[in-house]
Amino acid sequence: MSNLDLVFAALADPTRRTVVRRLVADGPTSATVLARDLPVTRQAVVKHLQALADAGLVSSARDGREVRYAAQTAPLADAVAWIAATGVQWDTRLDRLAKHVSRVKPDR
Amino acid sequence: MDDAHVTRTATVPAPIDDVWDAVADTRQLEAWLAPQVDLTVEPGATGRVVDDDGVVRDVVVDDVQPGRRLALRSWPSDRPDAVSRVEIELVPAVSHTVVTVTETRLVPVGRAIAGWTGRVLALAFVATAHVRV
Repeated sequence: MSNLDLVFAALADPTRRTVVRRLVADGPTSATVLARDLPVTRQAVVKHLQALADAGLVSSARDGREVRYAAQTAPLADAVAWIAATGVQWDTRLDRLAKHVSRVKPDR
Repeated sequence: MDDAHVTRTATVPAPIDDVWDAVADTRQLEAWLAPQVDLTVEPGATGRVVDDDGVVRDVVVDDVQPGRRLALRSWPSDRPDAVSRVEIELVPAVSHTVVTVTETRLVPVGRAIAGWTGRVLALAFVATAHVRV
């Protein structure tokens, strides 16, 4: 699976999106703190963090006895770039389609 | 479910039959879809296109409803995991045709995605806003 697909898949889950939002807003945070405000167990939060890490959306660093997780936003730029590039590609094609059918039927 | 997708709608100044011909005819596809198209537009057909950027894509035609709808899947020949589904739908109007294209990025089974398009943009916006602070 490509990195982009991993990003899309990781962000498919609402809990994971919440985790990314929290990490972006609050900075590096432990799984224990994240789990306090989420309707899932700490163990589940760790699993979500692992999926986000696989997609490159989260990094981790040990801080004393706990691990703190931080958001990595660069992969989001790749996802936005796909949306933008695909849209531009279809704008171009549909423009060509309109011109093409006008040329095919110049009397209309 | 709201999959990963991009949608574009265009008003094409021609009757629907003419627009459908441009969608269903290989030679006409080369006038607007991609510079090289080797594909017969019929259900189950496989083929290949070369995009404007030179990327070679394998294509499978999933659905053909003459005059109304064409659905296909495609992926770069060297990246069979990066599959997009494209749906082209035509709706007739008085003196033109409304063409709606939806391209959906398919994620392999087991990693289904939901409603991410706007949410990715929202996350990116949040991320950007915080970077700027």
